[in-house]
Amino acid sequence: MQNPLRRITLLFPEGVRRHPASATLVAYVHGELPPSVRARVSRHLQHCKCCEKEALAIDDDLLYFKRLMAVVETSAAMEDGLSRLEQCFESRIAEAPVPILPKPETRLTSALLKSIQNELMTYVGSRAAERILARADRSFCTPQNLSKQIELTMGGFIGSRAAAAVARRVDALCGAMVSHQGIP
Amino acid sequence: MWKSSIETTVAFDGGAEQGSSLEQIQAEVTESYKSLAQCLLRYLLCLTRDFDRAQEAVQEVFLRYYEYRLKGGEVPDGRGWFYRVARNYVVDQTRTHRPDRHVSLNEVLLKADDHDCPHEALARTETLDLLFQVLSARELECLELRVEGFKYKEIAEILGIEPGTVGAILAQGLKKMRALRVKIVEESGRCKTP
Repeated sequence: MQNPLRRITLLFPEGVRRHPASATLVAYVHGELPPSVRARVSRHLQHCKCCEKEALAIDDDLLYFKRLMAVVETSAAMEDGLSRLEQCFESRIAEAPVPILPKPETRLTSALLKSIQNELMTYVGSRAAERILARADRSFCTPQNLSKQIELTMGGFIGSRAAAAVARRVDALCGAMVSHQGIP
Repeated sequence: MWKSSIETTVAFDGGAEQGSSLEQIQAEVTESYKSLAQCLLRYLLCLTRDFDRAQEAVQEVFLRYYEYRLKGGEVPDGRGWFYRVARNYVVDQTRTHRPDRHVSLNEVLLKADDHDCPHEALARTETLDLLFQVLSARELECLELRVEGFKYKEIAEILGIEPGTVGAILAQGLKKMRALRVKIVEESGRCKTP
């Protein structure tokens, strides 16, 4: 936790009654200051014409920058890019080493994830269960390899033998779910 | 306002996913390209200071997005993902290929030839050229992201810095830009006086 006194010194280098730092003023104009500091800067601006003028100029400067950057905006470049992108779609599919669009039935359904999460919660608690499933989710697990992934992840928490037992339980759950949906 | 079309497709959810076909993903990518590519191009120009490199990076980002979607991935935080991927790509590229850190004036002019008033476009291009020389890449990046409407926290996530630092970088960039603006006004005033 940052020392509040140090924070105030950073925001108002010349003292609380003096002018705020330029970064503070910029953050004030952008509405990015915490309420307490915001109120303080607001009070200061009521009395200080110099800072008020400075604050008004900030938006103007950003607008100026936006106008300058608009000079590189061209629809021609974008159209060219779009046609190139569409051409690349096909070539990238050919290059892609991963299987494209796995069949829906080989992917984890939310119902299956929910029942597995309930199962895991009894062993490692709700937060760890969520994390383990999120990791499986990121690794594009299927019902077939989910138990292996869970065994690997949980091994670190509850030991390899217990993790293997949990994995068998998950396997059974996946099997039940798959047969329930009529998937071979 | 950009809205992620991905939000409508939920990966790892059997019901929503059945409708996600190759054509649908391609349409999603195209739609995202149309709404985001120009902003990304301007941002990457700030980062690379090279129009062609920036354009190439934009292409790469959307191809990566396409591949990512094909693998079943989803983008939870909308456009922030595109900016992060773009930045990482350019940084990786810069490590292997050291670019010329100065944007070519003629090159930018060439891209700006469809503006209504050529004199104004020329003046802006010259100013932009000066601005690119005066401001650091990080200051330009911060300014561009802020102009695009990102919050400090989002900017910090994209650049991999503390949110508190964003204000300081913006203030520094604005200060330099104002000094340049004053200088340009003074010089143009001097030119007009006989």
